[in-house]
Amino acid sequence: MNGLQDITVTVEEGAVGEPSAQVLAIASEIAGQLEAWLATGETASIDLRSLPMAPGDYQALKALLGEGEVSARLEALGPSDIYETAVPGVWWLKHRNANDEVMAELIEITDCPGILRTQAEDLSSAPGQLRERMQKATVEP
Amino acid sequence: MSGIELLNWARGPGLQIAGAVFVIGVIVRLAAILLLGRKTDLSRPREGAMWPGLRTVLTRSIPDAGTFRRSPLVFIAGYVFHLGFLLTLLFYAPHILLLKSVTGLEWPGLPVSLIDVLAVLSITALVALFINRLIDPVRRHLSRCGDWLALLVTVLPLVTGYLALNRMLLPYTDMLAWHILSVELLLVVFPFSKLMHTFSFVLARWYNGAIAGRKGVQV
Amino acid sequence: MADNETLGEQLRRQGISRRSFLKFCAATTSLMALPPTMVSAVAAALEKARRPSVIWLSFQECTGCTESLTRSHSPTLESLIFGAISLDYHHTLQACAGHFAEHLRTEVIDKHPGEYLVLVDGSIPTRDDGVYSTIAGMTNVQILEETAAQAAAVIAVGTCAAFGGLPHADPNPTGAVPVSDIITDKPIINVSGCPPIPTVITGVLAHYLTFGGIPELDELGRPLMFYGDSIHDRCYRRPFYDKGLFAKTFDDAGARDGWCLYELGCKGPTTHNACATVKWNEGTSFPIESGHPCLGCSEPDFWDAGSFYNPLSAPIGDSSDWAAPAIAAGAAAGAALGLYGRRHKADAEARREPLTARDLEDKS
Repeated sequence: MNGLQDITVTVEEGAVGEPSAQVLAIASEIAGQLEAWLATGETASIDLRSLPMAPGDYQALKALLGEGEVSARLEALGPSDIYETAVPGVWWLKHRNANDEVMAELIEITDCPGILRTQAEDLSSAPGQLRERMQKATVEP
Repeated sequence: MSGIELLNWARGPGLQIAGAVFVIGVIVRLAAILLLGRKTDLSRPREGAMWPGLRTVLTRSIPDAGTFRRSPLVFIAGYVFHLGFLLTLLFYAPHILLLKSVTGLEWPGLPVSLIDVLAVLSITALVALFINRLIDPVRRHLSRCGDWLALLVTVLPLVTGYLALNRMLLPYTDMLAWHILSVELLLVVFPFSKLMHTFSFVLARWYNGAIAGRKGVQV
Repeated sequence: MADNETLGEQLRRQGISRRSFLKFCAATTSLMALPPTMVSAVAAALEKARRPSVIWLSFQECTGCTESLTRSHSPTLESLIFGAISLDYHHTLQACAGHFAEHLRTEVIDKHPGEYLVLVDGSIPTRDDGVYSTIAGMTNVQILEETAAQAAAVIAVGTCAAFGGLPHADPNPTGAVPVSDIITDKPIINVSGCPPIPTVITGVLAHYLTFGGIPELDELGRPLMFYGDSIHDRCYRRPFYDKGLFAKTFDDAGARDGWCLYELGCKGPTTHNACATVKWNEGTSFPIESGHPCLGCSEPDFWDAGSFYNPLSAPIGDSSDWAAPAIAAGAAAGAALGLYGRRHKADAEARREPLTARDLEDKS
């Protein structure tokens, strides 16, 4: 049982209509957080799962923010899709598990989502890892 | 007892008890008035009895100029309260659903924003009447326990209903339970207090009008 | 079995990268309904968390709660959580059986007194000495008392364990009671719902795992982070309620346009749960989004609150049950009182002694 995608039902996604009041509220919160970031340097994020959204609101919000220049795919406990929206500094993060089911979905207001950076904890073992790889590559003829 | 348990009691057994007391009480009081009977009047009525009686039921709702000038507050606040109370009672959508479940009848409701304003107006009017009764020495001397009780049990459903509607003071579940309980208190007190005028004013006015009509008195 | 390894150490030993851990923390933070700014705090706490032992007791229940949990929409997250806790006893899921399974339960009690969690689904029968539900020769009351005595905390999963649920519904033939009626000296977290939202069950577990303590609870013992708002307050159909636009039937134009379901019996205004935001089935939807009114399944006695399809403002029960007898009784009493009044009047008239002006003069 891999979950919902095994059931042959597709959700009809109608044409994205005008953004509802809820979508506009989220968008203006993002705008406010962008301004706060410019003023104080404090980044922010929004948990999309904590917001009550009507059918279609999700698509409308996605369409409103658009797609920017950077997109990245992370493979950690399953795939994560991360992209910068058409609005600079607004990132859309969708974390999936190994079964391709959504674990968390966030909007981050930052210059680069923390999870994309090389992690200090992993970095400490990096030189050793590389030497190990070099050794393996040369020992095995 | 949690809010939801209180609400379930209020919507269930509480309402049944209060409803039964109200229905029995009102019928007994009305029957007592109607069955008492009047001595047959053998004189020929000058103007008829039925029509002047019915006309009086309506005309007494219009304040005559002299009385109005003497105590305008009682008239204005009285009107505001009665209209506001009736409209919130009969035209708030959830109330219509309640009445539909009991009577099977249904009619369109008023927007919530208007109900909200009407409730505030009714409460203000009742408070004004209360203060007037309290500070006017004549009214205060005339007031008995029953008068204060009638004011209290009438204002409670309005206040709790307004607070529930606007999610104030208590969680909605609790406030809704107290609102229904306050209505139940009103239902229980109703037949045994001056609130009975809701029904008896028709009989009293008709009788006055009928007597006047018989005698040919212009009222 | 729980051991002394922290979750951070355990994950590193398993070769889980930091990014994976952070992703897990982001998901856990979202799961616990905490703001995303808490991710680093959650990461720091989870790093140091130790695996608690968990005993899952199933009493008078339908296994719906276990079904809900095992269909939790984040299997990897769930498996991580279950890697992070040690589910030592769950007789519905357990491969071993009989006395061997019971042995595992008593072993946890003996080895980790004061440290393990007890999860309970189902209500507990108390009538006739609790004979209506027994496991391994012990009544549910006995098992619960024995197991909870040394527990750190008890989590009542589902409305049956939290409030009595269906077995407790009128006329309650087995004398079913919730956990809180039996256990009074331990912290109890009520995770109500019929069943609870799977992510809410794992969220409460994650909270315990992360912060070690009991989350802030409402007056019914439910975690405020999931049960703090009513369905109505978070419902996307709320604007229709405020505008007075109600679906009248399940297939009218209003229902198709997504109008408020209040008139069809929605109990959203008095029901506290996370359905409207967390949603079900991978966040696909929740009952109201599928066009069905909220039943109020996370509230006490929702089975006894009248028809699911009666509006909240309508009375519970049929008003004709009491209205007709009341009218009859009122008519009978009114008639009796009326006749008494007439007699009284007639008597008074018969006894009346006319007074003339001369009588008055005589008396003066």
